[in-house]
Amino acid sequence: MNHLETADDVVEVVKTRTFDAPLSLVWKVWTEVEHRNQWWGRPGFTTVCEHDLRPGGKMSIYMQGPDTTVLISGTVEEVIANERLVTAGVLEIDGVAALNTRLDVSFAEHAGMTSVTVRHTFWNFAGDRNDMLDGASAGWNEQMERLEAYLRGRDAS
Amino acid sequence: MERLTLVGRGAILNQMVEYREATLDRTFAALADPTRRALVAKLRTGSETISTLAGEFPMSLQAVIKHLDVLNDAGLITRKKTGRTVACALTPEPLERATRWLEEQQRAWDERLDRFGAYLHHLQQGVTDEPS
Repeated sequence: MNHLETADDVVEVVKTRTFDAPLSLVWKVWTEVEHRNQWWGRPGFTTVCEHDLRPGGKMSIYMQGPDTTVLISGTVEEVIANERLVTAGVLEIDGVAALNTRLDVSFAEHAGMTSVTVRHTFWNFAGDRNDMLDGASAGWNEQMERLEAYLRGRDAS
Repeated sequence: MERLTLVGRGAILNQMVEYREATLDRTFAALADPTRRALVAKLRTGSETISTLAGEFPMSLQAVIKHLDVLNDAGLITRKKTGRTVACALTPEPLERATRWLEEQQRAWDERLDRFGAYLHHLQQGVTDEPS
């Protein structure tokens, strides 16, 4: 695990979604593990989330699929009730460290609706875990344009 | 014969090392710079000589060469010397891999937020519709 040390953040995924639900409920369902276990994992995966919801508290997400096991283990970095939750840790696939990950989630209420912004940062990709990258390949130029647009978005933010 | 074989094995090993070193980390780090992305964009239409590339950027030839070195080390381009000129060409695989990986992460979050929304809705329905 020594090769997965803190480094400059290299890539992130940002998503914002608005839900027709009060902030208190959204926060509760996002942070309470008995709820989180119901929606977090991928279809076909059994998910067990655990966390000690205070700065420095331990967190883990264990996902058991039909032929693969994913474990994220780390710490809660920041928690402001109904506002923000930041966790960071190492993601392992079948017991092998694959990358570092930090998840920064912000919550805000507007007129009874609640927006959730997810900022998921990844770094220190272990070179031998490129089998994570399976997926259909689109046209080369199109892919390049999308990647460029994506990275331009990073510059702008 | 023996010597030829050894040279051949060396070449294959070199390729493997280059392939293994072209990890996502290097790819993303190499692309985390506007000049290098512009260089990659230029090379999409075909290979170019270093002097042609340098002529299109408001910086010294040395600075452009440094950026090309980073792209080369990340396995994003290859350089080929012909006489006194050096031509650079794109290697598509690392970019394709990086794009696929990013898209997979985007999709995973879309799906997770869909499930979160559906679960919230289910809970809210449960509150308003009970008892069932």
